Amino acid sequence: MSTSKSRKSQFLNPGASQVTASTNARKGNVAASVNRSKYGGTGTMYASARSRSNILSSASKRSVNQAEKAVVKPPVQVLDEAGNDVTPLPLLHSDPSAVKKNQSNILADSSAGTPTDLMSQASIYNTGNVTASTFGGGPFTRSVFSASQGTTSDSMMGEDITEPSQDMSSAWAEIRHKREEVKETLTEDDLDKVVNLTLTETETIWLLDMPGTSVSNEAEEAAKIKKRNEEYQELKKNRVGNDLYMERGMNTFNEPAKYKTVQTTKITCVDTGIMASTWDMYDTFEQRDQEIRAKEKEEEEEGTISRPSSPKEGEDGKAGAKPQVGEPSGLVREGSAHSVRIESRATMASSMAGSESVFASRETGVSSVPSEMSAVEEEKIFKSENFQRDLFIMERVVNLNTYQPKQALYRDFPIIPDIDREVTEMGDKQVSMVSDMGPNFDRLWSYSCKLTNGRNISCMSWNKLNPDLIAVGYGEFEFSDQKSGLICCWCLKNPDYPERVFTCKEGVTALDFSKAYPNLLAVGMYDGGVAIYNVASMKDEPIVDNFHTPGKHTAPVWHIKWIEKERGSGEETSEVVVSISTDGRVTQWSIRKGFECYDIMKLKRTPTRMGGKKEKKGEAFISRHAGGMCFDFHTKEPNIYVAGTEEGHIHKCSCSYNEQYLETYNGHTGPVYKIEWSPFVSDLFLSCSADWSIRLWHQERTQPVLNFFSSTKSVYDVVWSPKSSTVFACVNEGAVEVWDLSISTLDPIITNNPTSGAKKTSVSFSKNSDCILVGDSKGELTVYQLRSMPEPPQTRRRH
Amino acid sequence: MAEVEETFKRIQAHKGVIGVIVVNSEGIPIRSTLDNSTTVQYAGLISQLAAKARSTVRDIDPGNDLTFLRIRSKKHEIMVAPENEYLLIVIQNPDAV
Repeated sequence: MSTSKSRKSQFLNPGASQVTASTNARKGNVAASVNRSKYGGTGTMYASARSRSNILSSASKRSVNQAEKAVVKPPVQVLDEAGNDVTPLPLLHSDPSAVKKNQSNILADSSAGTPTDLMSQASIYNTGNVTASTFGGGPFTRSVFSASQGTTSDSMMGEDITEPSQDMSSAWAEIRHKREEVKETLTEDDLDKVVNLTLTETETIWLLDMPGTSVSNEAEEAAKIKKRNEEYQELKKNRVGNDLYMERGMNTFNEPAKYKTVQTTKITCVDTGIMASTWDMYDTFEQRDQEIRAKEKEEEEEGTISRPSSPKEGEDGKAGAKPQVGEPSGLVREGSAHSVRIESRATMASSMAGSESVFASRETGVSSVPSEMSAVEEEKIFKSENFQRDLFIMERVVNLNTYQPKQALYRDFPIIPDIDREVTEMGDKQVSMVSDMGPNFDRLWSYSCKLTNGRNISCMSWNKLNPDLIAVGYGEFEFSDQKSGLICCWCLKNPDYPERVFTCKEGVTALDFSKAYPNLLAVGMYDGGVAIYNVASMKDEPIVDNFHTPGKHTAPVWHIKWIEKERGSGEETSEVVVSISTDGRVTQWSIRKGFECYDIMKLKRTPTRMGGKKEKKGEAFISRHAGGMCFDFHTKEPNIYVAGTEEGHIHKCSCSYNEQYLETYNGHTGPVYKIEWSPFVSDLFLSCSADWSIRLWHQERTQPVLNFFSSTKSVYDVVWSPKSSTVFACVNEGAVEVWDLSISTLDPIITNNPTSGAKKTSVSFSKNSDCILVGDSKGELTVYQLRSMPEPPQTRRRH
Repeated sequence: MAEVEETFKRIQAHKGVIGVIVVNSEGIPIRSTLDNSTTVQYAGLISQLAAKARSTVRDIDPGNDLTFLRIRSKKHEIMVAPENEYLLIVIQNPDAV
């Protein structure tokens, strides 16, 4: 007992500094003997003051034996006077001894504390590591085993104490090792590997074992224990007055307390607040679904189900509008890579800011954005389609703000009063005055921009599909003034700038939109060229032109139109372009193969028949051809058309005869600028000419039915109203006139003389509103609204 | 690219337009026709408002999204075209002569 006690005491004060060598030797010997008894003398002696270090070295030896190298030999060695190695060891190594201390201390009291201590200390190293738990189990079982044995035999105690602690220290070394090993082999790829988890039952971990101090009478050892108990009782009795036993006090050494501090890296705590909004969750799920679909498409052949973005689920509620986080590979990128980059950057900023709002964090991130980034960004943004579209819409909106009342008038919508505008009291009076004035104009706005200033408007054509779109051709009428030509497509929604601008070398003199292909625009030019543009594209080139074909007109093309031609054999109607020009040819162009032309008619000069006695004389003509100025196809019979010439004759022709006229109408004494069949009455047509007159003709009569003289200027354009069969409008050089035949055949009902000084050159009615568009020689296209127009006659049906 | 510039200039030169600002997704103004302090102010405030408006629209129906935002005030009107990558802001006073 005493020997064991002394041994115990030796081990109980590992921290004591040993000065004398003898004691050292003794200690070392003791330890060595212990070692030898355990390991068969393989352990060499490190004569050291601390048994602890001895144990450790033995442990290290053991570990070396086991071919696991632990870093034991410190680079720096401290030796005391005796040459003993008193190198301070790393703090971690103290744990086994501390455990051992605890163990030895507590063993006397209760063995229960040990396993938990071991457990707690083992747990530091065994975070979620399956393999380590077996090691944890090891010491436990052995320690408990030793603990249970402790009550029965004290002599074993010393050895038992060392054993588990040695085991433990080696176990620690091993544990530490194992842990490092495991750490190293785990890489990124391993996350994707299929991991086999084998569930086994570990060894039973004893958490608490309180062996009873009492034994039942029927146990095997009962007799032995009884005997021992009785002996003990006797001993106690004998002890009282016996000389053999002496009361003696003993002084135990108080171990000097040594405080050790441990430093760990600071554990950063971050508070994150998350608000999951409805759309945030929706977005995330959408994203995940998309990814799954994309991945499934990719890995169809492989047949493996890719791991669904489970990290995503953890981030379901991530702050703000940043559902796209993390995995760059394999993600279906929405939008440009650039936007992902921005978002990830912003995500970093937002995660750093924690629970701050997204925008607050953005602002803190402002300073960190380098300036080059913003230049690159700017370009990317500007180039993106979205930006162009947005700019386009914004322009429209801005325009809407300015022009809203006018545009509403155009459409006959009630005007939304601007509630913030100051209302003048004059308003009511003015309104009543206006309505008393009878039919009149109201100027709404005018289409003009820098590009078009100073150009003469020569022709206009409404788009057949979109009645808000009008194409306007700019070209000079006079030979002396020729400039390059321009075609602008204006839209109701933007009176400030045309939607499309096409430039031409020569002045544009005729325009027409196609019915069958509403994006095709046929253009006739001053040099006789005919071109077809596609307004859907932004390119400035015609898709076909006849500049180089031999059939090109040799004189300005004054009128051009798309005509639907019926083929005889019941094929689909195809559209052809028909043009007329001063070189006397009425030509049909078809775009089926190349740009073919075919002269429908060559206008020949006819001698004017003077009524009365004089017979016609054969005059010598300078040229056989009469210059054609305008034409119009009959509304009902697609083969019949009337053409007006430079001399004033109007000829009715048919496509079937290209030599002869069906009829000639004489009346005008100057070039006929415009001719148009009435949309309501199929036998009537109107013509206007430079002889200051407008004439109304009937198909059957060679003399005009009605003549309209209202001014002393040549009339450039005349057009029927699409809404009323008796209304038409005309422009002469100085004024715009609207005539209504049901009211008066002598005077126009409206005459408007704008004082801008520009000559009015073309006029057109708007199809979907009560407005009239007038173009002038300064490049301005003005929109007027007709008000208080008389009702159209009810008997006339629209054809 | 030239088209974009042209359209930009036209909007700027339109009657009543006080300023045009383009802001990137982080709230930093990239292009502006106003002075710096005003620009920064508008950029920050409008970005927040646009985000809130979008959030509102999408909360009601997550399949929906905000396409355009107009704020009419006594003095002028602010029009915002919000996108993921940027924000286009135009301030106009339509009654200006």
